Amino acid sequence: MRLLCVNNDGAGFADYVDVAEGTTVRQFFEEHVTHPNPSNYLIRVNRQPVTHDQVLVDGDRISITPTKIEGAHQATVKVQR
Amino acid sequence: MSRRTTVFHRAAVATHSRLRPECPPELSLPAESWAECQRLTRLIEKARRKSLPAAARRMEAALAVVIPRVTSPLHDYERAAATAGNRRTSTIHDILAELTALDSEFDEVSVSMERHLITVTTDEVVLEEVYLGSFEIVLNWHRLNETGAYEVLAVEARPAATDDDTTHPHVQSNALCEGEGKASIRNALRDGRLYDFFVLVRQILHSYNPASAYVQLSDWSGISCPECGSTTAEDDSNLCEDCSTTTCIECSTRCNDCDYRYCSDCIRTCTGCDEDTCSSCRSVCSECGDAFCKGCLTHEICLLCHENEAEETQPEAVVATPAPTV
Repeated sequence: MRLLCVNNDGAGFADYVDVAEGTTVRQFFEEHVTHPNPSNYLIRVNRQPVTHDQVLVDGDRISITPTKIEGAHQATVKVQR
Repeated sequence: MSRRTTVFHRAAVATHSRLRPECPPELSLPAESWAECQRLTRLIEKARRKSLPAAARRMEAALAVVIPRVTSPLHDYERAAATAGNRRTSTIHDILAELTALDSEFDEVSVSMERHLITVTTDEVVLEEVYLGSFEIVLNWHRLNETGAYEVLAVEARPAATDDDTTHPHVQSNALCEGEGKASIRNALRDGRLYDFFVLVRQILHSYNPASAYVQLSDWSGISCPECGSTTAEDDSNLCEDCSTTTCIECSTRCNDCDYRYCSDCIRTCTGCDEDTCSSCRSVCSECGDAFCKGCLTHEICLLCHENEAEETQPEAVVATPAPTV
């Protein structure tokens, strides 16, 4: 089945992805996020909050947005002494 | 169709007409982090050349922190570039669904067709125990492809003590410093994903990066010293005993007589002994009119005037002239 995945992490992109029938939100999340800690992300299916065990269906729109997005970029790192 | 749905539908049509699918996706490369990697690498090489293994290890640890700031965005951009051809610009139906879904995410959602604005109100923002209140995120769909497409307005502003224009560590003059969210916000607006746009801005408002804040939260409720302009914690400030102006402790001066501290406008140097003296401990010499501390006045007259007075009251010395000789 085909889903629209909106990943708002990093540059942010929206793309169609093919997944197996019966895939849950958690399975999808773990497969598509580099460091999958669900508490660090807002996950919405068809723009609505969902439980992690919800089974995705063909045509769903799943969006993944970090809960913390730093308002500016920190380029310099302090060297610890 | 309810009136609200009708308004949302009209806003969706108007927003859709402003989408520019031909605009390329936003790809702001992590140039600053890369420059930091290069700087640290140079320092590591220098430390190794000079046989400073401990310094080299510290730089290596710092480099390990910076590298993911380069690789992670690049990974995302690789993915974004790969999917650029599949870009999916929202339809009017999509935008209507986005607007309708905002009701479940935000306390208030409103549309002004006359002013071309979609406004949502966030929940209350509290960062590191500093209460900043709610914010309105106001999007102008006529400016969808411009930098100033939206504003962030504090509902009941609680600005930083040092700057009335800074209502949030990352909001100044109603403009959000998007930081890590810049590319995803631009791409959400470009694609007409209004729901994602508003949620992204809200999540930035709920985040705090002290390294690049306009005003750090540790200084938020501090006292802004009117004399030197610095911000100081309330515990380190001084209330002038005379005029009640609050300054930083460095800009206050202790009166040598009463030991209380005063602002610079309320303390003077004694003309006689040069010690700092407040107005209560200072008196004017009744003869010359200059200000002195209590210790430098005797019977309301300064030492110099006393000396002058003594000289004037002494009888003129009689100069003995030798008797003329015949």
